[in-house]
Amino acid sequence: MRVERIIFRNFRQLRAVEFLFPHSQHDLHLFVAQNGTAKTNIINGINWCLYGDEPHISRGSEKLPLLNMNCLEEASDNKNEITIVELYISVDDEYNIIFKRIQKFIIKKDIQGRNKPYENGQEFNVIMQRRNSTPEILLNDEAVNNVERFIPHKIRDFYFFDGEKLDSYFRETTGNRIKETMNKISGIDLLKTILNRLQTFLLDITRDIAKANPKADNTSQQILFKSNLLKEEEVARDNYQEQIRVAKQRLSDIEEFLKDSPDVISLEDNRNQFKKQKIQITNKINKAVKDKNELLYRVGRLVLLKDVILDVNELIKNKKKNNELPPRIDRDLIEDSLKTKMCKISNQDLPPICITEFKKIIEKFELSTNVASQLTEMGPVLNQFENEIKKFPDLMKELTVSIVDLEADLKKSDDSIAEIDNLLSNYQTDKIRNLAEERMELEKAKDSSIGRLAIEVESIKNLKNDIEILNSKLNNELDKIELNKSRLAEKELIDRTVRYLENIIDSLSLKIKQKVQERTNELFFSLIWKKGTYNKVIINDEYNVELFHSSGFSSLGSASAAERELLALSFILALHNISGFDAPLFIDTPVARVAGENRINMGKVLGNISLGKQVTLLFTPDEYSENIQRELSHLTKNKHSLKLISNEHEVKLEDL
Amino acid sequence: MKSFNKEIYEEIKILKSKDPKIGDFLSDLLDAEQNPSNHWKREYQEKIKKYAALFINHKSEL
Repeated sequence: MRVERIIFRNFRQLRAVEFLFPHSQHDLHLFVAQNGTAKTNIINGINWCLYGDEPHISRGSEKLPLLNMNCLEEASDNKNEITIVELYISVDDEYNIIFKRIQKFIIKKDIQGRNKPYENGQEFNVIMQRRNSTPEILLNDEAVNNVERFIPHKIRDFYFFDGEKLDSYFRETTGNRIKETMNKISGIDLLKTILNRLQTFLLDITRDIAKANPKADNTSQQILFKSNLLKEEEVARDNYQEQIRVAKQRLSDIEEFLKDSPDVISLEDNRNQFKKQKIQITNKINKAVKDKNELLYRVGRLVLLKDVILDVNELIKNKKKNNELPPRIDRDLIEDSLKTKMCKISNQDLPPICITEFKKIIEKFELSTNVASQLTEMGPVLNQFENEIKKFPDLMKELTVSIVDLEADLKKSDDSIAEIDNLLSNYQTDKIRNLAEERMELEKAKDSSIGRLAIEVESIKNLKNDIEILNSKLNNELDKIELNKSRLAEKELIDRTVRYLENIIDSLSLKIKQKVQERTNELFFSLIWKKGTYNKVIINDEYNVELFHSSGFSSLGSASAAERELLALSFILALHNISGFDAPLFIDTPVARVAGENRINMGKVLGNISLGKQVTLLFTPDEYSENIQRELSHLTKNKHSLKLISNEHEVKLEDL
Repeated sequence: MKSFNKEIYEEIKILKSKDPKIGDFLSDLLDAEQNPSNHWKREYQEKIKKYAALFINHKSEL
């Protein structure tokens, strides 16, 4: 299969560009373009044409309309415009096929007077011409079925891919996906379809025959029941495998997005902590300020009277010392007690000795002056004032220091909050937070699916075993009854075909896996610069690719990005090679992550591959270095560069 | 479209030499699967009957 021609009209920066792919000895086609010059749009355009999506779209372009910006800006209000991508392919000189996708737009002005494109329907059609036949136009489902027939969506990553993502290829692709791909492109899937269909017929015929014998009928019904169960379990297993693959893929995309992003959840948690802390500190400051104000109000005015208080207190103390002050007594109470001869406190009769003492006190009291009495009452109050005045400076200092410290803490919290706000302001925090949460959920879901998958696999194994035992039992039971010759012949035909098919599928899967493994090894060790570092590449029974270090350890995880890219490319080329699926190869930025000797080897390998396969390489100018030019330039005349014109919304194609 | 792995043809070739009737039957089914149709069930039934009849004839010849 070859891509003969691609026509772009109003597809992003490809406003009116036609790519031709003339065949020569080396079916090699080179395009060189700066980043942002529609290079990746070529691969996205092919994908969009065939499958209606753009798997390699950059974050920036995602927000831009599909319709070319110049076309959009030049359009008048309410005008209809279209984006078209047409892909012309030929298959084994037998078919010429045109895949054509059209997106219709209606242009309307927004409130700021800018043109906005509104999608107004999409069309997809396929024109297929078989040799010596009239062309056939296929629409809708029929058109989609033909894409699946010639370029299945499931395996598109094996011919249109981004070289820069090759290093993460084995991280994103599960063994099961590789197995599915190998089955699809090698045709084993077709054999499996035949096998499944024959098994369905076999079950029907066996049931039909078994009806003549109740025992056999019972066994055949058990087989039917278990077979149906097996199908359900296989569907469930495939679903879990798909869920795991999708989760891994999504996790990988999330990792890619989050790898340079801050940990928003932790940072937001920290910010909330700082905010709580700030509230606590503010409360403490308010309390300290209140205490300080109260102290100032209560003791501050005493401080102003400090000298007077100290002098008066000193005077009182001296008077006391010289017994010039009466004791602190309630004269009215004593007089009243004397009058009634009863103690007014205990309500008991006063004994004579108390009466004598009370009289003495009254006499002494008669001797005091009112001033002396007031002085006596003032003494304890002034003592308290004096104490408070003494403690006042320390208390004030303590509260002031505490307020200063708290204010410093408050500033620290404010600074930390501002720092986090500043850091987060550079990122799409909502998106990062949502993605981080999604990652947690996906990890949980993935682990759960892995657990369930293991249960399904075990259950499938047991069911297959049960069916095998039941089949053998049924054959014994059928041997004992007279059978309709033609039905028996049908059963035997299908029985034998199924057995052969199962063996062919097993043996082919093994052979293809071994050949892909051998070819991957050959290609990888011809590509890699450090020949002695690695020992071998193994594709295990689960179709997981492992790279073994010369010391014997599995070392894919520790290989460099360039080494992983080389391994992935070797593996993909081996798949193309061994599967016999004659597909073209489009690689965007094929050597971006590979330098030096590895880059030269990569160039050589890609050049050699183009002898038997259509290879289209989309380089950046940096990639299209002297050593790459030396390896590839002389192999092809179809060399072009893509250049931006005028306002950078369009590119034009120039010969290199 | 010849998108098959040549190994499949090799396997069918081996099968034809070992068990020609089954080999032919499988080869016929493979050809049919290359141009899938919505009537596969009927096509399969016809092929099964055709090859089963050959089977009976072959056995009676023996």
